[in-house]
Amino acid sequence: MADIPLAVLLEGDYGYKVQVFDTGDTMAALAGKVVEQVAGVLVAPFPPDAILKVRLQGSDEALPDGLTIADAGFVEMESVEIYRAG
Amino acid sequence: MALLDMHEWYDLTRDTNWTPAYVAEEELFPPEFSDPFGISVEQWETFDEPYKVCYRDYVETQRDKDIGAYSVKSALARADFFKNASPHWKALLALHFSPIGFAEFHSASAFARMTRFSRAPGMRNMATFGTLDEMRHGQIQMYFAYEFIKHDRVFDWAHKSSKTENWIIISLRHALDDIEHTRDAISAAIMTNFAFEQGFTNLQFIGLSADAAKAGDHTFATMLQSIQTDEARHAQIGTPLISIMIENGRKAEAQQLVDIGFWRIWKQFSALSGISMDYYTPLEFREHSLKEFMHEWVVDQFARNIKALGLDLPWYWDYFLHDIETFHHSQQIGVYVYRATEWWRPIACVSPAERDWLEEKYPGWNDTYGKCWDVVIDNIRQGRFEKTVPEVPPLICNMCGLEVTGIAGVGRQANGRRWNATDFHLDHEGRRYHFCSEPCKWVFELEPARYQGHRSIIDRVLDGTVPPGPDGFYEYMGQSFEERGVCGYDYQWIDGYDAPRAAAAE
Amino acid sequence: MTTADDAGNLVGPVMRAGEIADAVLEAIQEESEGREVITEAHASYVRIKVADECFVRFETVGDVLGRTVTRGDIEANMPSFAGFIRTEPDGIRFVAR
Repeated sequence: MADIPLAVLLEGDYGYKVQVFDTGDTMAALAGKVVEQVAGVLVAPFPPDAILKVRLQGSDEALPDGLTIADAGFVEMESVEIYRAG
Repeated sequence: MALLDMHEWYDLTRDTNWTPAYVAEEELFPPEFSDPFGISVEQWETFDEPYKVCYRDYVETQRDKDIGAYSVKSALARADFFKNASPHWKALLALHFSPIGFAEFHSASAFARMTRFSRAPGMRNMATFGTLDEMRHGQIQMYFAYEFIKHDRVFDWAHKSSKTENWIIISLRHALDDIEHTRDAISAAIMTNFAFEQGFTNLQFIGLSADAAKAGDHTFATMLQSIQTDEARHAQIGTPLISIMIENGRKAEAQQLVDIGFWRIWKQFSALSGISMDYYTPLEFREHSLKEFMHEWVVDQFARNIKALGLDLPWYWDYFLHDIETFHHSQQIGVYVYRATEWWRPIACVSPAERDWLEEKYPGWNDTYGKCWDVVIDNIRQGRFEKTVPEVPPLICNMCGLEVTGIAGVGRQANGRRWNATDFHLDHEGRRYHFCSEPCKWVFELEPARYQGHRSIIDRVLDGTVPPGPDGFYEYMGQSFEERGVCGYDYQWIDGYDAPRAAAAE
Repeated sequence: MTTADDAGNLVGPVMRAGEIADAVLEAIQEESEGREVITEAHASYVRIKVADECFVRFETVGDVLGRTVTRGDIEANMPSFAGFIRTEPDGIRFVAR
């Protein structure tokens, strides 16, 4: 597994952030790491039962929670959105 | 001795072209420096400068301008205006003086290249005066800024900034290098004199002077307008050039130069003037919002010139009108929360009264950008100061060097707009490039080879150019510990939020 | 708020607020007899607007002020203008094109 920087946008934030992940991180882990950095700082904390999903910028489709960054084929600095699905 | 009026001899003395005997014409005026458009010298000689001035008159007028500006300054020097100014106004002065003085001084070299390489004698005349103008602008702003150093070391950045790799300076330098310093004389003049100077300088140098006059800073107000009287003259270099380009079948090229230059400079002014006018100017002194000033100076006055010259409004005009209302609000959030990366003391300017003003001027502000500020405000009120600074860096546009942002907020908004920060990205030769907007991406795609080697400050962190460690980033940007921005109000601006709560408790 | 399309062809100088601005306004009014001269006062500057064409005659400005006025005196107090400028021997002309 290796480090990979991604351009991430958490729903509600005013702009993209750059964060480094592990290629073995799943989408659920990725979302969690972004929430940890941005929620409560620039975006209001999400309720504990909020369902957060990851999608590629420009796509409407959520990526599976268990999919890893490596398996998703993200390039370095891939742009992804983390949004509330429920 | 009776002197002839300038108009009686001007045309004769302007005729300074000659046929070179010892070198070829293209060696004297290499196309890549002079004219890559292949327009004949006879056509360039039709350049008739609309705002004529001769050296004798120029020197006299400039002397009077300097006497005016410097005497206001010395008359008011004892008034201690700066010492008593609020953190709002100090932040505004720092934001103006730190990047602009030296950028203008550097512009002298761009004008000097126009003077040397233009094939139009009339343009060479005007550019000569423009060169001297820009030296004056560099010197006067450096001098006026340095007056404050005894009160505040921030103003050392009026001189220092341009030599640093601070992210804001990289952003400005990239834009100015692109349009002023790395193109042929004709292209640089159309982009600089027309798109930049006719288009935008009025905003900062006249619009902001109105705010300054209201704030009682007559020294700053006078200096700004004094500078702009030079701009009003030398900015006219662009109009005859565009006419000659159009008459010689180069409308598309002229249009593209205007479209690139206008966008690149808009991004700079959006952050500079947008934050100055809509945030840093104390509420009671605000003459207009950025949007209102933009409509007065650019959407009305400048757009009419674009069309009158026979060009079209830039293709992204509708997006631009949208950007006038959005971009700088996000940039202001970033400038405040990432304040340690700036050399001055940024302020939030979102007290309850200021928010009311923002909501009135930009309906929907509270439901969008206000949502991010709510979180910042809550953290300050709860004493969680460490949470007011994100630990992760922002994404920086690979063209304008500012943050990749959009409209904040959650879900569908009252005004029908949705949270929609968008990263316009592009994969090119194995690297992913990020852009804040479609026009920034468009500029890159026009000429990737020109831009692809540039690395944003974040790219430099990721590729190891920036030294690691907690101080590496700041040291790379030229900021010692004391030169890292802290909240200009030491969080006291939050007091306004306690007032309603206290009133309710009574 | 105006847009590029409905602003019409109003042209004229933007003057730094002060006695020169006042004199220029008076001179323009004299020169533009029968035509509407619109002024827009801001905290530090005043916009003077006339449809299609606007002329500032140095001599008229000088008459108002009671002293000789040169091109340089106007320039030093004119940070901007709407429309296109033409410098002429006896004054400055602003035209819509």
